[in-house]
Amino acid sequence: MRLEQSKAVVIGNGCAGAECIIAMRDNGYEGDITMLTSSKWPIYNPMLTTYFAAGKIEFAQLFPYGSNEEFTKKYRVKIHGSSPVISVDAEKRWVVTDKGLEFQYNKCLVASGASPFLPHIPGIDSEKVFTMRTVEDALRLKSVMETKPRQVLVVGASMVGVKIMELCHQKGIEVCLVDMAPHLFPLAASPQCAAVLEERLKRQGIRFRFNARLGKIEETPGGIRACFSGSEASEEADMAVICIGVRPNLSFVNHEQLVVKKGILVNERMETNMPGLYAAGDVAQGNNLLTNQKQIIGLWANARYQGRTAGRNIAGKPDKYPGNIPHNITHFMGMDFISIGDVANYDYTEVKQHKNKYIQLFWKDGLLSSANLIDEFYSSGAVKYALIKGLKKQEKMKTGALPVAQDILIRELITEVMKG
Amino acid sequence: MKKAVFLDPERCVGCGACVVACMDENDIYPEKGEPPLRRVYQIEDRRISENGIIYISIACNHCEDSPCLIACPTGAISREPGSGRIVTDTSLCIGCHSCALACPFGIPRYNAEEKMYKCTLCGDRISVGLEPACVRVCFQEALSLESANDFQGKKEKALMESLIKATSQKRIGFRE
Repeated sequence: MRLEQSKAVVIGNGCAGAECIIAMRDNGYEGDITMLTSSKWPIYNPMLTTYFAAGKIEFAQLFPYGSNEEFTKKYRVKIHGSSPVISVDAEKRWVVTDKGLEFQYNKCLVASGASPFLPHIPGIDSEKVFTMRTVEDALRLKSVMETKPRQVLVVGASMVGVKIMELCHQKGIEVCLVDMAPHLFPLAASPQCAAVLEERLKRQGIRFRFNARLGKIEETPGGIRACFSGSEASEEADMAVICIGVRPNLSFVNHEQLVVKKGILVNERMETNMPGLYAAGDVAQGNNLLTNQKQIIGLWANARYQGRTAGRNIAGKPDKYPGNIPHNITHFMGMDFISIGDVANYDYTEVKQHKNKYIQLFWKDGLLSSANLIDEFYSSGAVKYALIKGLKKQEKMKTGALPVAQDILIRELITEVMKG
Repeated sequence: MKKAVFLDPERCVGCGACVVACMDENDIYPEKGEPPLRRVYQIEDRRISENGIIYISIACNHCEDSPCLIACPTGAISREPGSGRIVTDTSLCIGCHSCALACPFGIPRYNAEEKMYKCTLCGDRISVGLEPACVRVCFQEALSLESANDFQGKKEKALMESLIKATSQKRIGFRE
């Protein structure tokens, strides 16, 4: 055991950790900073892994913050790679890594990110089963693509799944997209909107199997056979890519000390219930402005804002991050699918379609609460901000009417789209 | 001090000269499907002004805390030190459209190679002390290049003037 003194410890080398360190230095933090991570790579963006595997970007572009050497030099931080943290004692302010390194901290940020979730089913550990999140995953998928598989089974019909589907399709590989939900983008798209997307994908030759829960995976001479629970049906392919969501990396956290639900609960300053301990990114359960509940909103931008907020507060510059709403834009197979807010919870919905554009807006308690847009990214940001602005005004409002600005904007948007 | 292009909606008549000047300066060809970097919107609504119509000339606002910069997954969008301009390194852009969803003003557009492009605040012009093309051409002087503080100061002055005017008129009314 070796004890090291470090005033500040950042656990995880994702963008939340990076932004925290940048914000600390930008705001005059002079103490030493240590970054501990299980990864051997520089700070990378998981979202870029599909772009790399598809050959759209170079390897170096996976790392938006540059090399560890550059980052270390610029922000005076000591990075311990391949050093997963095995325990955090928030009472004693003590962090231990698997290599036996121990750190006494004054301030600590937990930003250890998330890992792909894999179901406990027979055959899941087959070499022909792939996931997509880390640099290793990207390298593995890219190299298997060079063996020219003919058929790929993609399990999970959400953002990562459709990007895998796209990269396979562009290489001329037959794709079957499987999900236990009844339609594409089960969390982000309404059934009507999903039907439009599915129709377009079918025309491009994509096959779907919905309402299908993966039961087991058998290896066959040529690849794999996926069997589904409660069904005689099966799908054969050369390989399977499983992208059914992620879970926060929290194995080292002491649940008796820290309030953890799906993630670590944080306030607007990214503080946990334990003094000196902060959390940000995919492990942090911050505010969802739409529901006023705490929720993990696993988005690149959200993680950066949270990391920055934690960093400013650690450096002694008070800052608050009010929260965010779930939102996503996926650009795939020559189209854009945009989801803003929660499409499952509404009183009233309206759909407008013109040529390839599709706009579906949802209202709840007289306020715009969510939107699904296809091929209408121009106005997507304005819709998102109108929605958030409406929510902020909600408390002050006496009537159920939509705030004027929001009303005008939506009307303008629809008129504009209908003009073509 | 960091400067940006400000619009005074009370002066804008929606003539579109700024859009043309911008296209000329930046070699934009709408006939090739390239959208202009500056756009003028006509908004009609009784609730927003006396005659129910306003024009908004808009391009990238080079925001203080730019949501597009934060949302960009590759670091293609950055703030230029000194000028404070928000600039795009197209070699890093992957055309994911994340910035489109991040921008409250609907600014980002994409070229045929799926690379984002937007107003650069006429970097070449401002670096040698010239105004951006849109500001230079605006005969209504609705667009101006100034620091946020100066703009705020002007707005407050105008507000005070109109307040004084309104109260003095009221006094006249009382006398009658």
